[in-house]
Amino acid sequence: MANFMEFKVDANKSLHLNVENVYRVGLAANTPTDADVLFYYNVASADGTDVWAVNVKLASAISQKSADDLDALVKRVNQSPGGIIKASEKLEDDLYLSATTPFAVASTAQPS
Amino acid sequence: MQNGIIVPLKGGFITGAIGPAATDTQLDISNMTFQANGTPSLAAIGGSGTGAVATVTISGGSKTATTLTFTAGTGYKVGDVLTIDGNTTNFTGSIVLTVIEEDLLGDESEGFINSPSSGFWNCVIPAESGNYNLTKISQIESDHERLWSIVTSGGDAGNHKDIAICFDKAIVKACQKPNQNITVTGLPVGVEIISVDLS
Repeated sequence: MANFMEFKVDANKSLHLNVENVYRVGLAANTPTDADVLFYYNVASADGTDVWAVNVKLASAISQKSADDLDALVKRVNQSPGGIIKASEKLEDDLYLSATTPFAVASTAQPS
Repeated sequence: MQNGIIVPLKGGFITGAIGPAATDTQLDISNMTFQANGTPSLAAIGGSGTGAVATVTISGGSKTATTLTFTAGTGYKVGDVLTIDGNTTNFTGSIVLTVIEEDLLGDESEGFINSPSSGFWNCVIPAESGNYNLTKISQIESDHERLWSIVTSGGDAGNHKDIAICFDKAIVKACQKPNQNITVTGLPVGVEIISVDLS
């Protein structure tokens, strides 16, 4: 059974990301804040060491601390089979997914 | 045993011609009597859908080359039996069509999105402004990503996220219990699903 993180699309609607195999969450850019948050999956994406990652695009930037908070939420929900956890537990209640391409899946190098 | 998502399809007909009757056994012309070549547009009666209208192409001076090209109709299923009564000008009697998978958009009455045997669904990707009628479900497996492509009609800037949310809800539900199939429901008014393909 999969575990999901729920992201708001607007005040009343949401989309879910399957985070069952996610081992790390971090900002896409090496900057203090970023609207792109990478969820790294422990699933090989190529012959090398690359893995699959989902770029969760938010409507506005969050801090490195907020990304760490999301990481903690992932670890928490993955202790509950079939669980769903709301990203809004740690993010601003009115922080929504980007209106354009909220999820983008890509093969990526593992984070350092 | 696995989980899946059942996707009701539009049940519309393909745009291509069905027939000819001489070789296409799903077209029964035994009660049809040729009168004249022509291409009348006639309603088809029966079956589980509504609004079927077909252009009946009658050529070659006999009934054997007759084909049907549907221009309207939704909600039809494999096995439906449709009857097209003659217009007297081109033919009398009737033509009977027994609907098969190849006649329907999407090749079937309902699509099925099953969970991968060695991977997982990870998210629904809403349609984008370039094409509001193409919603995708990302499926991650070792070494490759697969995308379920869901082609709809009626998608637009105002409802494309709602379409994605319907599939999102179905995925979440299907993943909550083992061996559970969930039917997609709640599509916005005017939105119909044409086809589901794994690419």
